[in-house]
Amino acid sequence: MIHLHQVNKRFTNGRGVSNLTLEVRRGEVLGYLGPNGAGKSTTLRILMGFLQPDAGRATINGLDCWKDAPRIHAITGYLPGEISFPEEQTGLEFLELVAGMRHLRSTARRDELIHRFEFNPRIPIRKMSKGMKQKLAIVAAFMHKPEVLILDEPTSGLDPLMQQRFLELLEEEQQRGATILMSSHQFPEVERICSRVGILKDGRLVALEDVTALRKAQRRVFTVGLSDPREVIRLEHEGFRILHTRGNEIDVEVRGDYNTFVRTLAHCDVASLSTRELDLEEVFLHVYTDTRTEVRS
Amino acid sequence: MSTALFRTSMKMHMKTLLSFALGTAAYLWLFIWAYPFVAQSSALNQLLQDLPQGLLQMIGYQAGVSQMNDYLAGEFYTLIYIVILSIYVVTTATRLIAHPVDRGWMSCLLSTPVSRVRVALTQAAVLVSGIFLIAALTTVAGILGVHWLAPDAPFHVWQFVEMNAVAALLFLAVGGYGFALSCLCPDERAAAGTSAALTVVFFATKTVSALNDHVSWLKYLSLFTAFNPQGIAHGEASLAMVCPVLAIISVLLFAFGVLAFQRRQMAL
Repeated sequence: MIHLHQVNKRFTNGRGVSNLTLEVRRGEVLGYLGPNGAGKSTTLRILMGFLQPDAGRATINGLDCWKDAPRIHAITGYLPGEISFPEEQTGLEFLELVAGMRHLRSTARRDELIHRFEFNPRIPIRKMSKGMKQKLAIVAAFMHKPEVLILDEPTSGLDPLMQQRFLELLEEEQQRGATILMSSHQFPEVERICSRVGILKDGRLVALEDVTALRKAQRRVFTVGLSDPREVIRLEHEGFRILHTRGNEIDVEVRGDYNTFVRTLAHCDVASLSTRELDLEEVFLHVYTDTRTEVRS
Repeated sequence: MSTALFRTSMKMHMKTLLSFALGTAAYLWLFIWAYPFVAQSSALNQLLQDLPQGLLQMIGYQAGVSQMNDYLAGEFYTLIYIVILSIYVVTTATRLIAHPVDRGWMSCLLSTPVSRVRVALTQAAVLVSGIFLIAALTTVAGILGVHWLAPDAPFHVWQFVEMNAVAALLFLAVGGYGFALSCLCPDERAAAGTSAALTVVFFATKTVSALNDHVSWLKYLSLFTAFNPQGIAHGEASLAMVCPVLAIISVLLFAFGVLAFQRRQMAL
C-alpha cells in the first residue's frame, strides 16, 4: 500500500533520509522508530507530498506521492508532528472547514470521535491546551474514515488515559482494514499495536523487524543491589553482561531472557532491584552499534 | 477553487477588510468635508501658484483645487490611499500563504484532496476580492460623501470611478507581487519584508522622479507610475493602455505565485 523505493532527500543542514526502501502492506500497522532528527518526519512529509524526494520513488496505493498528492489525500489521514491551526477559529469551525474541503457531509464519525476524546470543540483554538489541540488534530485526521493513516508521534501531548483511548482507536482502525504508518520514539506504544517496526538512524533504515523479534532483542538494564558482591559470579556464569559495578550495586543487561535472570537472582541475596526507562537508542543499542544488522524488507 | 476554503478565508479576513474599508471611507469623508473651505480659500490657490512647478508635481497640485476630482486626486489618491491600500495588500498577501506555511497549519489545508494549485488560487481569490471590495466601497463612499457633504462642488462621477478602477488595478498588481513573494519566501517575515520594501522602493522612485527632469526617467522603474490620479482627473491618462497592462502584469504575477507554491518544498 505504501512504498518507498531508494528515496533520497537531503537538506542543507545535512539531515534528511538516504536510500530509504520501505513497504507497508495493505492492512498492516508499521511502527517507525528513531531518535529526534533521524528523518522520521521527513519520510512522512515525502509520503504526504509536502517534500519532493531528490531521488527514488514514493507511492501510496500505486499513486505518486508528489504528483498525485490530492488523490492520495482523498483516502489518507495525516496527523502532523507539530500541530498548528488557524488560531482565530473555534475547533468546530476548523473541523467544518476540513470537512468542506473533503466534501464530507456526514458528521456522525466526527461527533463520535469528539465524544470519545471528551473535548469541547466550541472553544477558540488559541485557548486550547496542547492536549486539546492534539485531540482536534486526531478528529480531523480520522473523521473521513481513511484507508491510509500517516501519524507523526500521534500520542505526544495526550495524557495516559487518552493515550490508551487513542491506541484503542488505532486497533479498531486496523480491524477496519486501514494501513497505518506511525512514527514514535517510544517502543512500548509501538509494541502494542504494530506488527513490524522500522528503525531509522541518521536518515538510514537500520532495521526492519517483526515486533516479536525486537521484543526478544530488546535490552533492559537492571540495577541489582547484592548483599554479597561475590554473587556477581552467578550472573556472569549465566551469561549476563555486567555493565557497571558500584560497590554492592551492579548494572546488569538483560535481553528477553527474563526467566533465567529471575531464577539466577532467586539464588542470590538481593538487597534492592530496580530498572529505569531507557531511551530508544539504549533499548536498541545493538541496532545502533552493530553495523552488521541485516535489513530485511 | 475550494468553496469551503474561500468562505472560511473570507470570514477570517473580513474584519481586517472592513476596518481598512471603514478607515479609508472615514479619511475620504474628512477630505470631502474640508473641500468647501479649501476651495473658498483663495489664499491657498494663490500660494499654490507661487510654488515651483516641480514641487507642485511632487505634491500633486499642478492644477490648483478648482474641482473636487482634482482636489481628491491630489490630496487623497496620491498619498494616503496608496499608503493605506499598500499596507492592506502586503499584510493580507502575507497572511494568506506565507503565514499558514510558516505556522505550519498549511498542512491542514494540504492534507485534504484540494490540490496546492487550488488552495493557492482560492487564497489569491480572497486577496483579489478584498482589493475589489475595498475599491468598490471607497468609490461608493466617495460618491455618497460628495453628495452629502459638498453637494455644490464640481464633481465628475465617471472620472472618479475611473480613478478608483485604475487604483484597484494597480493594487491588483501590488497584490500580485505580494502574493508571489508570499508563495516564494522561506518564511512569513521575509515575505512581508520583501514585499513591503519593494512597495516603498516603487513609491519612492515615483515621488523622486517628479522632482526634476534629470531624474524623471526613474518613473519608468516604478509600478506606481501607472496610476496617475491627476491625469485621470484631467482626462489625460491613457487608460486604454494602462488598464490592460496592469491586468496582464497582475495575472502573470499571480500565476507565477501559484506555480511557485505548487513546486515548493514544505516542512509541514
